[in-house]
Amino acid sequence: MSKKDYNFPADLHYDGKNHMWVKKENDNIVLVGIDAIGLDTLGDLAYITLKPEGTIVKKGEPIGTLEAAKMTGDIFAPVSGKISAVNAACVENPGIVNDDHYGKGWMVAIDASDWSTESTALISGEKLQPWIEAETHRMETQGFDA
Amino acid sequence: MKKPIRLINLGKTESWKTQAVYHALAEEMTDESPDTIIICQPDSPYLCLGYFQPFDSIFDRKNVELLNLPVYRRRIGGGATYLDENQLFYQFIFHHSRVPVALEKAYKTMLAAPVETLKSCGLDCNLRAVNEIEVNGKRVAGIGGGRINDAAVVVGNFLFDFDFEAMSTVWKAPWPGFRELAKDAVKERVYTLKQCAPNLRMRAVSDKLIELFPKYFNRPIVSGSLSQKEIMASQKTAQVLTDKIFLNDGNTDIPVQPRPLKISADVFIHNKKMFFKNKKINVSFRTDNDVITRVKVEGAVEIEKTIIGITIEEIEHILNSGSSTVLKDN
Repeated sequence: MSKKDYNFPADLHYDGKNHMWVKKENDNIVLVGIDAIGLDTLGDLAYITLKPEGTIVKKGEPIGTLEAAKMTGDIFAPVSGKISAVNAACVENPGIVNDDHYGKGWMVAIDASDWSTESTALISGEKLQPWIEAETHRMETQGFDA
Repeated sequence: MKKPIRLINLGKTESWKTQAVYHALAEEMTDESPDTIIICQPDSPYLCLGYFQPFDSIFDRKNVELLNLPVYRRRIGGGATYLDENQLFYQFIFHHSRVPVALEKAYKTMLAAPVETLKSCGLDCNLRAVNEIEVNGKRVAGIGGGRINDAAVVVGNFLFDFDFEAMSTVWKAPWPGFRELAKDAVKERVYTLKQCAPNLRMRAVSDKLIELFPKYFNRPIVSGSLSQKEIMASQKTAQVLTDKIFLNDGNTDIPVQPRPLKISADVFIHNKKMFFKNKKINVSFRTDNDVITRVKVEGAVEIEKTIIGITIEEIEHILNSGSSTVLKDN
């Protein structure tokens, strides 16, 4: 089986467990969306719900739900903080996430409460390439025989 | 040795258990929990909403109350359905790390035993469109899947018989034409084992399915039962799944925009509003692979022919064109 070539922009941080990307903006504001492997496991998105602006969220807890053509699941916060903005466009038209998941398909902005600590658990920099390779391998091999 | 899969055969059981138990096991799933398969059959009829289906956008509340049907909302996808003792359920609750990451592969592996069970009964059964189980090219099961906390869950059924009348009665229909189209479509697209194999017995199918699990999961199957803790968690979960606020999700998390009624992988029933001769009327239509194949127009039959054969994109264009015939979302 040939390996898929997933795009993981090097300037982002990644939540290795839940396949969310995190982009550090000004101050402690981070943009959050779903990464390439996360999207590939879902397919075409039909519905997205997101917790409203002002909600206090904890790292690893659900900040929304999604329904793709063949499955449903939760969207998890990659960092703790307060949701400072919600991308209403992707709630209205989840196809935006499929079309441009690192750009217009961002989901929420979080005012991170402990970026300096929690960002160390995210994947970035020189850890990125080995993680992409491991996750790509897992995509292709994980299963009942693993 | 490969980790065994726990099999819990609940048999014919109280209806609430057929939804609550798998949710409770999934919610509590950890890496140490046993992967579990549940086999069960509800002892009385009920309705079940998909995760993204608020009660009031899918069901006609008055008709549901008239039929005295309990309603559950599951945390996995798919459409609303009517369930009763003529259906045998199989529910897979596995830790996500022990399930293929790729969706197609996950469904293929989990649904192999149900598909092979029907094949072994002499039926022309195939898996199509990732998770549609079909016999003779028609849908013969309702399959849904999703991630609940750390569990990957796939649920499905063997449809021995189906109460088309009850199903079509409870759908929220803006006008009778919509209900008529939906009822015809579900009768045409949903196939039952009673229709294709009238002599097939539920017990025989259940036994065969259980026999095939070790082969298709390539893991040992060990019969088990629910622990007291799991039973208590299930009781608590049942209350959540039937909670009035959860059923409509407090109108906060769930989108309320109208959605087409899914009949099968390729067939949907839509409804639009249209201004015709200065009157707002309903236009209901069925799409097969996004092409309009049947139409019912409220009080203006002459329009119906002009709509058949056009695509969803084309009717959306008419919707947005602002022409004299203005269509709007219902």
